[in-house]
Amino acid sequence: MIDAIKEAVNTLSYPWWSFTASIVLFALAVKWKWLWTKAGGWALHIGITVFLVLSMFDPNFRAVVAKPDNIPIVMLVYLVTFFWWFAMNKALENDRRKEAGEPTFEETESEDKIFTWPDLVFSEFICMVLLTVGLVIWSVVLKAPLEEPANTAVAPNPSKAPWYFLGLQEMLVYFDPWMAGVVLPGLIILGLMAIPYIDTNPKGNGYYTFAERKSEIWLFLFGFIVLWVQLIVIGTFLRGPNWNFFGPYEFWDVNKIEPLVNVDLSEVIWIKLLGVGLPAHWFLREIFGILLMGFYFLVLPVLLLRVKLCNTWYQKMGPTRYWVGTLLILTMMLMPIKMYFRWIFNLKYFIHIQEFFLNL
Amino acid sequence: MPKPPKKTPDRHYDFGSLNQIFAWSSVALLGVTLWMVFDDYAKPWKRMQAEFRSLERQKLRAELEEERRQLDQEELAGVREQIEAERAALADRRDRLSELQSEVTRLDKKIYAADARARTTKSILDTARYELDVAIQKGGEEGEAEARHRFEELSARYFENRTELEALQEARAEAQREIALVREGLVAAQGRLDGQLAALDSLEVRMANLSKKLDYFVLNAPLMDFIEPDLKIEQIILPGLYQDINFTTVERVDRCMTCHVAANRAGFDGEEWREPFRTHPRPDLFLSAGSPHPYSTFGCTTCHGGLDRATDFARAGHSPVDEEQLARWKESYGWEAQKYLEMPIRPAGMSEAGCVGCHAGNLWTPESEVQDVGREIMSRAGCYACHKIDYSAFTDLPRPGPALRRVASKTSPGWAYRWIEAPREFRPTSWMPHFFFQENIEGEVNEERQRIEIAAAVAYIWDRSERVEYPAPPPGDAARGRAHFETLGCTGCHLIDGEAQRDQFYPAFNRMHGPNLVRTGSKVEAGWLFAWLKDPQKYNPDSRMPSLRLTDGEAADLVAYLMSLRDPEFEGLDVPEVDAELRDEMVRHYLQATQTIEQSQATVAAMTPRERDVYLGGETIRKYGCFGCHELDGFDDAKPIGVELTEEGSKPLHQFDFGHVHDVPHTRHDWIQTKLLRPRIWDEGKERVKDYHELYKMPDFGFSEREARAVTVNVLGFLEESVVAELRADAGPDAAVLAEGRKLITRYNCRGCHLVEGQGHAIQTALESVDMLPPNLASEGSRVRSEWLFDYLHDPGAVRLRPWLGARMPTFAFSDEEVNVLLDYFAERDGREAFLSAAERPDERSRAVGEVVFGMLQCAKCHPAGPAAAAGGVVSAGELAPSLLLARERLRHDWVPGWIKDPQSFIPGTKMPANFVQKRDGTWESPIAAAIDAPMFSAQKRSMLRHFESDEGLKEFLADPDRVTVALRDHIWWNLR
Amino acid sequence: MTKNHLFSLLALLLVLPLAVGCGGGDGAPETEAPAPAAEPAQGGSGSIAGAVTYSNGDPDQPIAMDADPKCAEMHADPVYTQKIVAGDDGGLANAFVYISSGLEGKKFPAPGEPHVLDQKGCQYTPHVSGMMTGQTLIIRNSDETLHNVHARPANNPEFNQGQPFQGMELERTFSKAEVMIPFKCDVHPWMASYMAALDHPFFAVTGEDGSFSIEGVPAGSYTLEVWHEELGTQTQQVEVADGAAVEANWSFGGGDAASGL
Repeated sequence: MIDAIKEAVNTLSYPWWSFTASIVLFALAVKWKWLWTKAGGWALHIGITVFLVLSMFDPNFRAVVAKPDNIPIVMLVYLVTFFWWFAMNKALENDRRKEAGEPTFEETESEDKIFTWPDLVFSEFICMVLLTVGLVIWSVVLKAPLEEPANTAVAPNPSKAPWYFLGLQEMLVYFDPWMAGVVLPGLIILGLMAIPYIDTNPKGNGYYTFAERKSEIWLFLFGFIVLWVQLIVIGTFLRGPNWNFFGPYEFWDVNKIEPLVNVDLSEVIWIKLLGVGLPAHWFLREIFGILLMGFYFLVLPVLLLRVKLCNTWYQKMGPTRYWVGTLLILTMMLMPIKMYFRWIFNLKYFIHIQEFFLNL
Repeated sequence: MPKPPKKTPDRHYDFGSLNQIFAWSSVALLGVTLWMVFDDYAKPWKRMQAEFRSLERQKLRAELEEERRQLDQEELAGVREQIEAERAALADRRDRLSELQSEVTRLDKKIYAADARARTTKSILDTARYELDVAIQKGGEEGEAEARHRFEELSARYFENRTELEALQEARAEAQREIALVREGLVAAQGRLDGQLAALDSLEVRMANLSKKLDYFVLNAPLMDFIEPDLKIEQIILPGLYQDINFTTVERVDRCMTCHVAANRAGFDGEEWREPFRTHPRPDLFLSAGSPHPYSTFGCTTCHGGLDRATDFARAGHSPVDEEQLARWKESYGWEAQKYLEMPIRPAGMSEAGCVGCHAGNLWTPESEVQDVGREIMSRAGCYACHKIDYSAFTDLPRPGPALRRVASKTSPGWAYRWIEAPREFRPTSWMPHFFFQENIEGEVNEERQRIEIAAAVAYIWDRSERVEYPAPPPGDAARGRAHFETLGCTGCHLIDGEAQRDQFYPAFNRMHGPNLVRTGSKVEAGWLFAWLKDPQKYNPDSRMPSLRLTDGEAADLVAYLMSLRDPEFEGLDVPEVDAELRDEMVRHYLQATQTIEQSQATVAAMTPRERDVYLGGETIRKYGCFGCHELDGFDDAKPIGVELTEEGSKPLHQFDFGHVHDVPHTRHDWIQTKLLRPRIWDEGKERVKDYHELYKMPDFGFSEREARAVTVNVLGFLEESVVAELRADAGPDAAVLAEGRKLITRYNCRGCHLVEGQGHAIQTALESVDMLPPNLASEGSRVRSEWLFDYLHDPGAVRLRPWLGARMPTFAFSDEEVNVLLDYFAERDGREAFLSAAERPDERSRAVGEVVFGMLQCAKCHPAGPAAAAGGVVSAGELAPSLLLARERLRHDWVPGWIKDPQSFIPGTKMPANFVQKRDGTWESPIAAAIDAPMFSAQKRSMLRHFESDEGLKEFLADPDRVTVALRDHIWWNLR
Repeated sequence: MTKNHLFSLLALLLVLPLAVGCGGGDGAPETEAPAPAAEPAQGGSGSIAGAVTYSNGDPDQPIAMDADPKCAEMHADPVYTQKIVAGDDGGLANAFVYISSGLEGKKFPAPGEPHVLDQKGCQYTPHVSGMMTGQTLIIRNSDETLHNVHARPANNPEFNQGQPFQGMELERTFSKAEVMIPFKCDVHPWMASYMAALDHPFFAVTGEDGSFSIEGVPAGSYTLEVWHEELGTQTQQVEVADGAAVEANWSFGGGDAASGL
């Protein structure tokens, strides 16, 4: 019985399932008001805890999750969920009040002023003390996880990046190093920097709200929770030796082998469909990929104008902002799209021009 | 977000509760801080040291009691009384004494004053001298005169002061002399008492140091223990011994003694002392300052492995020997596997792996038997033939197996097939391993493949082998042949025993140097055997088999005997018919390495079955690396097939493939030892998954547990270089000379018959009397002249040195180089020059005395000393000891006297008796001096007296063994012709 | 949390600094005091007597001494090896009988008077004998020819001393118990003597008639062993009570001849 469940969980946790599931769940979650009530909050955290605790009985699971290095990520899971819940909870509450024409929390609170000393300093000080206590206990109970002296000849297997980079490392599975390692991270940073200039919606400054910033929050949460945090979690707990994927209850077998026969778009079309060899010249060879990407990045935004939502954006933001914004968003969406193409068609690259390292 | 609590006016929080929270959190902080301090303080090694302290205290207490019991109470009491008496005696002279003492104090004061005066005067005098000097420079009569006057005046005063001072000092010394005189007796008695109590006192001092007083508690308290704690980490830095940390090599810093407190201290090896508190075994060899491996130079981890800087049981890398120990360790030390520690401590019984790094090059390290035997096994079993092992002990060695270039003229294919199939069934002690039908061969098909491979190999060998026809040998008598076999010395290298197991000869395998000759009759052709015995090198120029200079008769007898050792089971054998289809498929498999499937099919079709066999045979030989051990036509430049083992001991654990085997502990040594005992074990569970040609092919040598461990210990010891040359025992030219010699001695199995460096005489087990043992070669280098030895080794038949021995010194096919290597070895070993200048003629007297003493000691009873050697009888003198007529040619001039004086010290167990008696105090006495006055020697005495002025002179001469022995030597050297 | 942490926590709770430093120290095992040296044990009043017989009494071989004329001229009539000296009644002489086990831990003082091994007429007398460890052995050469005493013990230091002159004496002692220590003279290969060194006085050599007796044996159960240079060894268990006389007999059959040393 138990094993059957574990077996199921393992299979379900494989990316193509879990990722799809996570997207759906994410959508549901954001829509599902109850989840953001106090009860929902408790349920959420208790749920996670129960899952962890029960799973701890499984040796393989324990081996991975209880590793001192992974403690921060376990904490991260709680923190992210908590703050996500906290923000949503507040936002929805505020929205309700706004509808009822009542003042928001922030307004009610901003009424009464208090002194920095003693109220703020004192409470901060207490927090500091408690935090220190926590850190000391942690440092005593879990010794720093030392490994063998670094050896250029022997790479640890799996060799993992620091936990906060595991999302990027996970991207390497689907993208060319140049993309996953340089371009996309660069774009992420640029994008985050650009947000204030793109996002012209003045609502929600200084108070929580969801109703007034639906699309912004949707986009951000998707990028953060689904594409970033989830990849970190996968990279930490579900990627084993040789960066193979392992279910949470699966034994990390070094000898596990997964088939890797990925093909480029060019090969699919020229050889599979048209049944002719690959053209010699790269441009001709990759023409379809180039067209596709061209369509994706240049034509799609225009077509999207027909969609009401996007059209309103366009109205609000004006062409420049709109282009930059959509470009960033599309780049972000390229990630899941690519993932699905990989899983479904074993697609390697849309565009594969090793002549000048442009692989997409 | 907690509900906003009820607020005190203009306060956001309720400070009552806030203060409480603050209080509690502060307490918590204090708590965890303390905890942190203690966690940092409570290191396991501190408990170890503390425990040891208390144990040592108990030990000391016992010793103290013992010492007290030892003390001779009467004597003590006596001394005490004496002291009392002295005191009493002093009593009536007390007034004089006090008088003297007050005198001394009085003088002291005066001396102080006088001394002060003198010094002041001196300083003024110096200034005066300076002023005088200045005045002279200035010139000017009266200025100078005045200065001079002052100077002289002052020096006069200084003179007075000095005299006064010295007088006082003299007086004082006088007074003190008298005091001493008075108290003399007392002081002496006191001294005796102290002497008696010295041992006790020192013990008490040590006891005091160990006792737990307040200061101990303070100095070792947490946070206080930075000052000068008793419990502290014992560490030693070891220059020249490196720890390889991948990017760099760092010097070792051993901290083992932090817990193994007594390792380098004598007296903790009793029953009651258990690890970690025991003294290291063999302090004469290890750790102690005088030993060859002092702690200060070699530390611990150099030999034992482990993490040098660790002070925690688990992190140090202790390896348990068995489940039971593992459980105990887990329980009491929190042991856990150190998967990141690349060089764990070698488990008990494998420590000798630590010797390899520095001693492998020496060859022969009997003190570390396991390692020594392991090396011997590896060279006899021929590990180096397939695995490159870049240690001088395993490089440029001959192929361990016989050459097969002419095997067709020696035996039959049928026999060869049966032999390859399972060598140990024919010869239980054989070093030739089992390649076929091992545990990883499953299923009819694979078994048939094995048959095919053997048949093919045989086909290849016979196809390439040269055929020589030998005439039938002259008829011989088996019984006599047997006698020859047992007496002539064959038994030094050969067994004839169908039941024998290698392991029963552990640790010395010399009698398995040559093949175990059981069943020989069923293997070889009589004609070949005869020719072989007469001249082995004729059949195989590289053979190590020597010639015993057999007469045709002897050879014929031996052949008759050996051919009579038959076993029908191994006769009339034939190579079995094999599945041709499968054979062809295998041929194709090899062809496809270079050809397409189609081509390969064509090629096979074009070959005759015979050609296919031969081709497959060649590939099979290449696959199993037969050419590593056997010289084979067509494989002269083939590379060994095994993995290199030169640094196997440093290979990271994760590179060892344990396959699906889970009941073997995942450690280096367990892997290696298991591999040796069951070479194909790692295929377990993969037999039917792996492709036939990918299955492991390491052969089974039929090692016993002991043999396997010995080999494992060596392989474990093959580490990356981590010791500087100066510290290696096998570095340097002298070591090389010895190593080369030992290598040869092993190659030609000299130890089968001779005793070399305390080991050998293997033949003894086959001889009925120790008197028939070939000579012990101890001190050979200082005994015989290299010139003589050179000729002798080339042609031992020329002279019959020890006629009474049945065994003959065989004639080896030594090259001049080889002989010289041996000469250098013997000379170097015994600290002598290889060649030396001739001796100069001694004086008349020495020779004359020598002659007489020679007669008195009846040396000629055993040593033929002239044409008129003692006549016949059961034992002629010639059969008791070497002829002295050879001495001059053979022996080293300066060696003989020492030998005559004390033969046992050169060759323990020699038949040569000592003619001088060594007394308990180590001095020697010569019986001749005493005997010379006996009436029966009057004639001898007279003849000798001619050379001495006086009777005393003669006596003195005869009483001195050194001069007598020299005289004997001179007689032997110059009078005997 | 490893033992270490628990330990430190404990220490923390009862804040006794040194409870940590020397924890376990008090619980340390007491080192046993050295066992008191065994007092010299007193012999008992029991006794063992018996005889050794040899069934197929093949005759003793004569020695040809003409290798050394000096020896030859010392003997008018032929001399025998003394290897197998069996009387007509089958009594086997020169067999050595001793208690091989059962006296462990007991100490017996070595006798003051020395044990003498004489070389007379190019033969050792006695041919077979026993002495105690620590007892002085005097080896005398009563012949007017060169002898060398070559003892080949297994546990004790080997020695080989020449005695060229008549009347020479050599003193030796054996510190370790050993049965038997072969003595030989390399000059006269036929000369052989066998001597046992034991740490107790309970041994005997059979006489011409093969009989022996061991007196003053303390009560106890022992393994009694008989040794013969040609016929090998045999053992049997004996129970000795105070004042009682136990009988122990052996007989060497032809078969045993094989199991010689």
